Amino acid sequence: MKKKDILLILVVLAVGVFIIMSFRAFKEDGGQVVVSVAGEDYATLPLNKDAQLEITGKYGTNILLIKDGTARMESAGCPDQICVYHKAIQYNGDTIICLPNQIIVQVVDGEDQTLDSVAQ
Amino acid sequence: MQKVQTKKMALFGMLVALAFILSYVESLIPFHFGVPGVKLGLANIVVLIGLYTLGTKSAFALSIIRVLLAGFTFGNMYTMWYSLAGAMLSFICMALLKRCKGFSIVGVSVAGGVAHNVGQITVAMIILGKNIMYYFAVLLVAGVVTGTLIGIIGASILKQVRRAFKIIMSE
Repeated sequence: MKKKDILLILVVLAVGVFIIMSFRAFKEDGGQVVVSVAGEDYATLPLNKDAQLEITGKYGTNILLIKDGTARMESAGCPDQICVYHKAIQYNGDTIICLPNQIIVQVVDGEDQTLDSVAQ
Repeated sequence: MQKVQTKKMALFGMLVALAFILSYVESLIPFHFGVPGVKLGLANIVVLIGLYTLGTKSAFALSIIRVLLAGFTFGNMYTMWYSLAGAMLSFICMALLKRCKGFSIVGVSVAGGVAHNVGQITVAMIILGKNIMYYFAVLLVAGVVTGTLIGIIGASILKQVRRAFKIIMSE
């Protein structure tokens, strides 16, 4: 490896990191999550603020956790726990559904997912 | 003279086969960074070796043939356009940087890795019609990392290969 190699590596790395950082810095307020229970609106929370929400449904209380721009179900009062194992949501239209408690958590006004399976 | 040409041709064929196999090997390795589009670029080792031993023209043919072969066998027409754009831009950058003084095979490999990703993302931007600068930046960094790795591997292989080529050519 020569001096110029290292220089090239550092320059490209710096450019990449700069773009990533500027995206982080100027990121617009993300979307919101709308929580509904039994078809009725329960709460609306912004995704960009860490929060914790207790949602009481038919079979107990679920805890929704918002962290780092994503939302996930921390715990559920229902027996099947499917929503707890659901991956964290962050893009428009993503939903976590807890059927027994009739809770629907959906992301709205967020950014669309920019990648799909084609770009592999 | 003719004998040397024949030997070169045989070596070229061997490198094409090697690049083809490495493309296959790469498709087998479950190597995921969590971002689609990031890959090792194992076949680029062969292209680098070709660039340093057979010359620019042969190495360019090698690169294009590899993409076409791998595209028809393991991919589809859709993914092949991405690969082709990546491979072409990657090769042009590598060939240009090799002519510049002061860069070793590692620098050339880094340029190739980064340019490959830039080429792919450009096609993606055109096809999807979306601004994906963030993804672009991630691939930029990824290209540097994989390019450096491939370059270091390529450097040590090139040392051995050059010695072998000298013996073959002088026979």
